Formats: sequence, C-alpha cells, structure tokens
Amino acid sequence: MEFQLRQRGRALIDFEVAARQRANQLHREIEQDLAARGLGAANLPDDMDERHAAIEAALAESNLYGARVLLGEWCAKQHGLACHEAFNEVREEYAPRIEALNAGPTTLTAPEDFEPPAYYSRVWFHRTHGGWDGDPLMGFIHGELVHKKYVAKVFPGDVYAVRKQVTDLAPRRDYRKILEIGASSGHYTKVLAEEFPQAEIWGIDPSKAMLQQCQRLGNELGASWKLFVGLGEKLPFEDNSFDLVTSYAVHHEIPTRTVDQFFKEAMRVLKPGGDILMADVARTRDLDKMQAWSFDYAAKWGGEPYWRATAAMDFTEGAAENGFVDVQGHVAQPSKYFCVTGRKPEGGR
Amino acid sequence: MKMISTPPHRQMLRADQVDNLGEALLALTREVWTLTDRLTVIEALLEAKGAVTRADIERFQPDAEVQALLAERRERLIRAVVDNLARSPEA
Repeated sequence: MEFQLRQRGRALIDFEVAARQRANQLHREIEQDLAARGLGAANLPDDMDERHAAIEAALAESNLYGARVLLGEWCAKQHGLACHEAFNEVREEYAPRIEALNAGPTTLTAPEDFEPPAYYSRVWFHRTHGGWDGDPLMGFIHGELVHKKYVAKVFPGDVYAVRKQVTDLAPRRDYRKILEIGASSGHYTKVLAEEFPQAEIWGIDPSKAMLQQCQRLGNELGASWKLFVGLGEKLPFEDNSFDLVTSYAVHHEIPTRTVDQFFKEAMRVLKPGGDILMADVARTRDLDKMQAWSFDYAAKWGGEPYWRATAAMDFTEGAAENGFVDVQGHVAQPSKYFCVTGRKPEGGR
Repeated sequence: MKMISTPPHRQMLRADQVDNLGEALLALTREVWTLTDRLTVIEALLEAKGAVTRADIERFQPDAEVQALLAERRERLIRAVVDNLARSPEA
C-alpha cells in the first residue's frame, strides 16, 4: 500500500538509519583497533563468552568502543520506537485503508485459545518495544517501516534478494502446496508466491498482528494465501499434506529444542517425496572467530536470545536425524545465510 | 575587599548517570536533525515555489539532489557528536 510519512517521521527514521550506519562503521574501526592490539581471528578464544571477555578487556580504555556501545544501544532501543512515532503521525489518515485490506481472498485463522509459549511471549525480539503484538498495526509498522525503511538500509546488500536466492535452492519447481513456517509480515511469502506461482501458499506464525500484515499483502496481490496463528513445532495440519515446508530466518528466534520439533513436524505434514527448504542466519562454523564475535555481539545486544545456540547447530544433522534424505547444506553468498534442503522418503509416513 | 562566599564544588552527575547523559545527547542530536531536515525542506520549497505552507512541508518528498544534501548534513551532525564521544583524551 502506498503511503507517505510526514516530515518529522521521515527525518526520525533517516536519523536512525544514519546512526546505525555510523555504529557499523565504528564496529569496523574497532576490529581494526583489535588487530592493531594483536587480537584477531587467529588467536581469539574458542568459547564465545571468553571471546567477548577478551575483547572487552582489550577495549576497556577505548573511547571508540564506548561510543560504539552507546550508539549500538541507542539504535537497538530507538529504531522501533522511531518507526512507531513516525507511523503515529499518519495513523489516523491511513489506518482505515490498512484495515480495509484485511478483507479479500487471503484468509487468516486465529484460534481464540492460542497460547504462545514462554520462549516467544517473554521476549521482545529485536528489542521491538511491546514485541510483535505490541500494537494492533504492528505488522504494518514492522513490515513497511522498520523493515523497508530501516533494516533494508542498515544491512549490507539486498536483504530481499537473499530470499530469492533461497528459493533458487529448492530441489523442485513444481510444488502444488507450500507451507511457510514463520510467515510474519509476508516478505518471504511474497517471494514464494512469485517463484512458485502455481502453488497454494499456506503460512503459520505465532503473531496475529504480523500475520494480519501478511494477509493484507496477500489481498493487495489478489492472492489466496491461507494463514494460521500457531507454532511450527505444533502444526495444526494433517499428515502428508504439503509438497514443500519452508522457512526463512526463523530458527534463530526459537530455542534449540524447538528446532528439532520443527523438523519432526515438517516430516509429519509433508507428503512422501516432499521437500524441506529452511534458511537461517549464518552458522558460527562458516565464519572466522572475529566475524562470529561481531555477529554474536549484534545478536546479544539486539534482542536475539536464541541466536548463539541455534547458529552453532548443524541443521543438516537435525534434518537427517528426523528421517529426511538427500540432505544438503548450502551457504548463500555474501550473506552466509545457511540453508538446508532435504526430502521425505517416498515410503515415509 | 568584600568576600563572596561560595559553596564547595559539588559533583552534579553520578557515574551511573553517564549512560543517561549519552542517550540524552543522542536524543537531542536527533531533535536537532529533525529540525535541520525541516529547514532543508523549507529551503528547497522556497527555492522552487517562493512560498511554503505547513502542508507543503509535510507532503514534501526529497528528490535525489535534496536527499544528497540531507545525507551530507545528517552525516556531518552525527559525526560531530559521535567523533567527540569516540576520541581519545590525547587527541
């Protein structure tokens, strides 16, 4: 939906983007500073906590590091609030049009008795004030403002192109029925619909507010997506009912024990011969120690409590242990996003 | 000569307020930015139209030239604040 922010709201978000870009520059300068002090990928501790401690000790007297910490904290706390404030300036003008888009061929089923698990309800992911359901229109605010006007500008490369890269890894192109776990506000859902135009698209996510934005996006596109409030580890779908189960950047938002449940449930709902295509953030093993520290630093202070543990996992093992065959791991470049593909055996049940 | 009695030096901020001070400084910087942006928009509108209304300012969408000017001013403001925070005492 086309919309236009007021001057102050636009300027607030522009400031947050510039502040985060400056924080990113300071971080690179800190890596150079550490190298000058003799600390680098070759000699940092293996243990991540010890690595953080060694780097913090080396930078204890660094004003550069102090400025980076301040700017990082500011951005983590403020980027969502700034987008919220920008939206509030135009809320009255656009809310009726946004809500009108809830009506259309894309459906959203939200069980009244749905209780999100503590790992989800007790975390404000990305330090989003109030969490994903903190505002009835959080889906619009996050999907259209935070993501398109902030995230897309502060991360290197084209964040949307990575989604397309992932779909290119799908073992087949002829899927008839696709399930996306963690559909959220629909950025990946849209790519799935574009890449597999013949397929029926189903999506599930714990956040109703985010899925409502996915629904609006589907309706704008004239698509008939079927969206459900629920969990990837407890899919409310029948056995043997999908050709592809896929997800994008979801595993690092769940505890490791739940990752295993994702694979189990994917196996159950896939038809024999169906595929998984699950992509997530870079695995620690695919990064050098300094890169891994930088990623972990951003996650630790950026509202990503499960990142470290899931980034250390080997999803190919999880897929194979749960019965998938032809399991393969792929590392996308330059993002280093990790993607696992695998197939439910023809004789699988 | 008349002596003026002054109290002893008093420490005003506690150590645990330093972080608040840093965030207050960034909040102020952001407000300065929104006003600088507004001023830049007004300048661009005046140059183009000779007069502006509040509605013009709110509706204004910066073209590439104004975007570049805004980016330059924003970068300069953030650098002025952050570089002073980041510099070492001997610099």
